[in-house]
Parts: sequence; structure tokens; C-alpha cells
Amino acid sequence: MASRESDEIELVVRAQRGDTAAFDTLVRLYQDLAFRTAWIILRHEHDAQDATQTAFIKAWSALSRFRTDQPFRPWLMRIVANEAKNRRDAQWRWYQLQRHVSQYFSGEHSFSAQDLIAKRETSQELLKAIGQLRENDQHVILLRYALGFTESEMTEILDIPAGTVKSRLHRALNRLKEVMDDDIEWS
Amino acid sequence: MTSNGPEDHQLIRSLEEMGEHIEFPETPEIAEAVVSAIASRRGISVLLPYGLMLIAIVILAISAPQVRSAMVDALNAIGIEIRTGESSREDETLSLLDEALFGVPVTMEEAQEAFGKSLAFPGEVLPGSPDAIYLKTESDGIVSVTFAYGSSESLPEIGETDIGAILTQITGPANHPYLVKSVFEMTTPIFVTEGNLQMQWIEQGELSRADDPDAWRASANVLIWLDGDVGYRLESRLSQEQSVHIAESMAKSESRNQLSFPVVREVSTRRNDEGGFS
Repeated sequence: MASRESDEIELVVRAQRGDTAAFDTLVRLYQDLAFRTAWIILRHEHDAQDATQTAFIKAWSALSRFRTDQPFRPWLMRIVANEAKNRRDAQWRWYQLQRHVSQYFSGEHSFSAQDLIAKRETSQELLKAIGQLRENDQHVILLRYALGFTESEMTEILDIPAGTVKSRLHRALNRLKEVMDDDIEWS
Repeated sequence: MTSNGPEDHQLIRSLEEMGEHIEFPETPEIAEAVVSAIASRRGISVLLPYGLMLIAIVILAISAPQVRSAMVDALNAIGIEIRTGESSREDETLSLLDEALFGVPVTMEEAQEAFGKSLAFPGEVLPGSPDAIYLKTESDGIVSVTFAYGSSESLPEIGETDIGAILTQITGPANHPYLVKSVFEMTTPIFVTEGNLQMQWIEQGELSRADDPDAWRASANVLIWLDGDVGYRLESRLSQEQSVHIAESMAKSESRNQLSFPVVREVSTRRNDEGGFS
């Protein structure tokens, strides 16, 4: 682990000096995680791809201000999450609204957390229940348990205090339990 | 059920197990596009193919904070200046449709007469007449006409106003910047080419007066483009695709066959050891 971290720091330092090959390696290292983070927020593959690409370009521009004594992954994912949230909140609001409205009226309103595929039945039931939660609750649960971010990383990524991450996660889990109590047996 | 009892641990275990078995959509190729974009940004050079172009789009790649006031003196054109840099501003000093930016309300006839050439009207997404028209004339001959459109279900409001879109048309003589568009450091202006139109798409920018950079406000999504000798700026919360459709719908038929190159200059301003800029 220490070796991987030191390798990563070396890549970041090289990228800070303008080495695009080093940055290319960093992008390939994190593109899966970045894309999935954006996808959780945007729920749309093409949008998530655009947001991820833009976020990496912004990260490149901001790289000179990254402090190498800080963890790189949450710093990068914060840029990705911000880009995804900005897109969701701004230019795609109209589009998403239309899409969600049409889905609602066609009976497909318990939405795209279910677009994720889980191989086990219990996990699929969990995803189905998560899909019935409000968006913020879905974000914290999926970032924490589907992508495996630590609470500390989520503090950075979501740009909220550590106590808020804990309370949001706690509330989201309680709501999830309520949904599951209504719907399914999850044990 | 809000306790932290055994069922919580069981739920968390189930969630962790779910995380191990989940399958996300396949990650598309991203690295190649990113590295290509970075390389092309580095390769942007001064492009001045048409010296008589009235509108200049100037990109200042500002790497140090508090560098917003850097101005380009050697512009051979006027118009819209785009800066990227770190915003250290505090309170906004201009309102969305501030008179300092867009002028005073007028009738369509007054706007048309002052502008001196045909105003263009969007045929896509923003059909019909604007809800308000503003005119700004400068002593140096720069004239701008701004159409304001009220928000609607398909036109989200900007901020907490009732305004859904602000469309400005600018014309005038050379050698004077008119609007200054500052872009946060995390924002990358995106070149968009559609037909003969070349445009800049900017998110999360700032808008300020050229003659008073401290007079500013944050802006929504902005598309800037040129058509013939008129510069256009569309501000809204619409998507890039929708904004480009509006620009296309406004393209004048007589200029469709004429190339409209924004005059683009990239200036790297980097603070040196003496505190100045190189």
C-alpha cells in the first residue's frame, strides 16, 4: 500500500511539472472510480462520461495547487463530484426533469439505482430499496457502500463537515430500513 | 427503526456485500480524450486570421490568485474577454440584469434603430418575443441589445429570479473590450464548432465590466459566438446542446457561408518572484 501511495505521489509530482504521460497514468488509475462517482450523481452514462472528462481536465489545471502531503484520491473525486453536481443542478435540470416526469407517468419512477446490477438477490433487493430513497440519501449510501469511500473521504468529496457525513449516513440508513420494513425482508 | 441495534450491523454487512457484487455501467474510454484535450489546450496559439473581426475572445490562463486585473493592451479587436483564474471576490456587486452591464429598457423599435443592423432572433428553444429589451450604448460606438426571457417550465430560472435567459447582441468599432467574462480556475472554456459557427461554452463564470473589474456578478451557463460582425452572448441554465441550437437558429442566412472565427489569444500570466507577471 505504501509503495502504491508513493508511486501515486511521484506521478502527481511529475504531472505537476507538466508530464502528461504521468497524468495519463493517473487518469487511467482513477477513471473507473471517477466515472462511477459521476454516474451515481447523474444517473446517465453519457453525462457521467462528459462530467468525468471535464473533471480530469479541471484537475490538470488545478494540479499545481494540490498539496502532495494530502491524499490525492478524495481531492480528485471532489472535483468529479462537483462537476457532476454542477451539471445535474444546472444545464441538465430541464432535461432530467423531463426524463423523470416521463418515467413517472410511465410507471418507471423507482429509478436508476436499479440500473446497477447486483449479482445476488439480497443485494438486488437492497438496490431496489435504495432506489426508493431521496437523492441525497442514495448518494451517501452508494458512495459509502458501493464505491467504498471512507467517511473521511466523503467529507472531502461532498464538501461537508465530518459530523454531517455521519448524520446524513445515519439518517439515510434509517430511511432505508423503513423502506425495507415496508417492502422486503432483508436479513 | 432508528436504533443502532444488531439489525443495523446486519444492514451494513448487507450493504458492504452489495458493494462487492455491484456492477456499474462499463467505464467508457476517458484517458485518451482527457490527454488529447490537455494537449490541444497547450497547443492553442494566437489565431488572428481576420484582423477586422470586431469581437475578440481572449483567454487568459491565469495560474496565480488575485490576477484578475491583468488586461491585454495589445488587442487588435474588441468585444468579449474571457479570463480564467481563481476568484477571490466576495460579494457580488451587480444584479442579473444590471444597468451597468446591459443598459436601460427600451422598445424593440428603439433597440433596432440604435443597433443599426438587423437584430437576430432565436428560432429554437426561445421562440417568440423577449419579455424585456435593454439597450446600452457607449461613447466609443459599442452598442449592445439584450433580450431577457422569463423563466418557464422548459427554461429554468437563473438564480432566484424569474429570468430564464439573457441574450445579448454586440456590435461596434474595434480596439475596445466591452464585456469581461471571468471564469473560475476550475472552469474550462470549451470550444464548440457547429457549421460555420465557432463558439465558446463556459460554465460557472463571472461577468464584470471591462472598465471596472470589481463590478461583477456570477453568471450561469454562457455561450459566446460570432456571426459576421456581431458578437452574441447567451446566458441561461440551458445545456450546451440547447444553447448551441439557439445559436444555430440565429445564424443569419447571408453569413452562413462565411467563416466566423473568434479571435483567440491565450496569454499565460504567471506570477514571478518579483510579484509581477510574466
